Amino acid sequence: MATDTNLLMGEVIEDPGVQYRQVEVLLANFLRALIQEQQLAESSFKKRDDA
Amino acid sequence: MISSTQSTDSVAPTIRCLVIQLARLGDTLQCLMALRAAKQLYPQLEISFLARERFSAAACRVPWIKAVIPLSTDALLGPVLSGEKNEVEALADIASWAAPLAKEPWDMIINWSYSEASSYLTGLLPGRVKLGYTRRSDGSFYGADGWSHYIQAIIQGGVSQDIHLTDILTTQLLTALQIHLGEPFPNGNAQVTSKTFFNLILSESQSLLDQMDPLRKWITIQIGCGQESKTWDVKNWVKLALWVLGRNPEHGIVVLGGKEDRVKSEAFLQEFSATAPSLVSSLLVWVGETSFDLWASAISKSQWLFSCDTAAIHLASVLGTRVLNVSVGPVRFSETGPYGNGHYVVTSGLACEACLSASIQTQHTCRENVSPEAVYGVWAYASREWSHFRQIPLEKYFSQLGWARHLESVLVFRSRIRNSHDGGGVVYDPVNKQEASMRDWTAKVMGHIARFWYCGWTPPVGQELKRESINPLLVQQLRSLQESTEVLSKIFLQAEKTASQLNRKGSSLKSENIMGVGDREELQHLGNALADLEDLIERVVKTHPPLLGFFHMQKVLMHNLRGTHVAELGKESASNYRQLYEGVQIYKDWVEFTLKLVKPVAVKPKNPLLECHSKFPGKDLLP
Repeated sequence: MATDTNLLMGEVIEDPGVQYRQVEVLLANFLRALIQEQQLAESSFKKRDDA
Repeated sequence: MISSTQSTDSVAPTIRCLVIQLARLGDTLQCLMALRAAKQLYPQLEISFLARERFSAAACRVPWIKAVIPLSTDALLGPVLSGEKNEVEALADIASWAAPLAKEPWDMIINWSYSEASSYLTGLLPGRVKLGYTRRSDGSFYGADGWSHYIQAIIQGGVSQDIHLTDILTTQLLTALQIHLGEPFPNGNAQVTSKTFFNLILSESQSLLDQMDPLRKWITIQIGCGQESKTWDVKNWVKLALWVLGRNPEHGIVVLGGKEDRVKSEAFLQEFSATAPSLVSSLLVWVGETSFDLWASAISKSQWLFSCDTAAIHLASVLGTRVLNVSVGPVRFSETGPYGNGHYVVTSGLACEACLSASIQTQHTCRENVSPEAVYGVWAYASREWSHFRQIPLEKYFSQLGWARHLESVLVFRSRIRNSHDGGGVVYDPVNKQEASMRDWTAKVMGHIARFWYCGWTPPVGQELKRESINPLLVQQLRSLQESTEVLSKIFLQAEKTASQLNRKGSSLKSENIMGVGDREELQHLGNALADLEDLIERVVKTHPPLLGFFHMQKVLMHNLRGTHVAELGKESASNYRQLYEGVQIYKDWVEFTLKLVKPVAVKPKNPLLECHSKFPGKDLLP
């Protein structure tokens, strides 16, 4: 294999229970990104209808 | 290594996997194919599948999926978008939805959405191993594995490549499973696609389905498409249906589509009835009234599906129904086309400005270049393979039909699963005469490089490149690349050396915070040298756009460095530049191979007298 296996095994987290202390921030960003995606999809559907 | 919980009903410990797919149904179906392969090889996987509620029906009908977790975007986002709730209130709703997912760490979280939103979700959920896009502990974006880097840099970066997404997902997951769980259960040759892939529930739709007379051969037409720029005109579908039913009375056609396709289906029916009222009895139109179960059953009962770039082609692939894919608009069928053996793809053979700029506007001339006669001719050829064994060239077949000119504006491909000793995966073989463009050529090379980077197997240079497809324009473009690939290769080599120096310097420091002025200046100098080399890479690529993939990969790899200390960062950077250098070497080999392939070869002139002599030995033919 050309690349070392580290690149193929994904992110390995030893203690996943306490890995992130910023859950609220990530959750808020998740929500915002979903809203943005939804708005983008709606505007492209609108463009399609207009066309 | 994953530590796992012991299951009571299986020998191997259970591995709890969460698969996140927040894209559309077509993506879900591709994921299910990859997961089926993984489940067959690693039966201990206990798969939970997270999908948007409106695209979750397919996963709900898969018996080996433990749980389907729906994300109801309408319920969660609707109130915010309409102004009924503010973001803080919506945050409470989404936290309640996510809380059960975060209760217990997952053994694996596989994010196959490849979107920004999904990266936050993957980042916040506890998991021992993560694949796909996620977030670092500081909240920054992170591609957790090599294939994710490739998807971000090459596929989402708009660079041509020819590895099908289903193959990428399958390889990505199976490689990770092999690393973490060891060798698979020996069931590698089991079929992934089958008519029984789903447990369909048809209680209410059975009467509709009964209309599909088992004595007829059925073809389903998926009339619409998510994007208008990827649709084929209704008039074309009507003409195609008329050709099929007019010349093949043993066939019937079912027209399928969503609620948004009703206008199209009404136009279809109106025109079809007006042109050929006697053939209406061979037609079923179920647009806007099909549940997933009825949709899948209709496709499963059909011999062929005709469709543009829709989820239906993935559904047919899963169910083993042959597909004739009318690939028009901004579509890269080599990545998302029908999967399996014997599917056909018909696409425009003439340049389309809107496609070249990947525009979603509707003025795609490629949509007009594919005529119903061309599609019918290809289907007629494909559905009679049993009689001609593909020994008759498609061009000759079209001449017999009197439609040779219709074939001139299209490219036709037939799908094939490669033998495992040829690397496996789906490939689309050209069926008619085709000239390779720079994009086609780049796609093959990038696919080769990816296999070198991420698979344990490397194909021979030039595999599947046909000599007759190489044309003067391509040769001219490749010649102009010879020098720049050499330059790029030298830059990556120099960058590797500089990064290694950075690693050595970093390792020699007692502290990264307190150091002598000389040490600091040396680090600064090495950092500046790397920045200069990166500028140089950008300049080379700007002059030679076919090399864009390397620039994108360099950016993505450097963004995804894992280390926190200078020494670690230097070591990783050196490894990344080595990876890029090796990629450019393969690119160079391809350029050389292709140019050599078209070089005229001196053929020994034949001596007619000697030939005659060999035919009639013993007779002296010379005067």
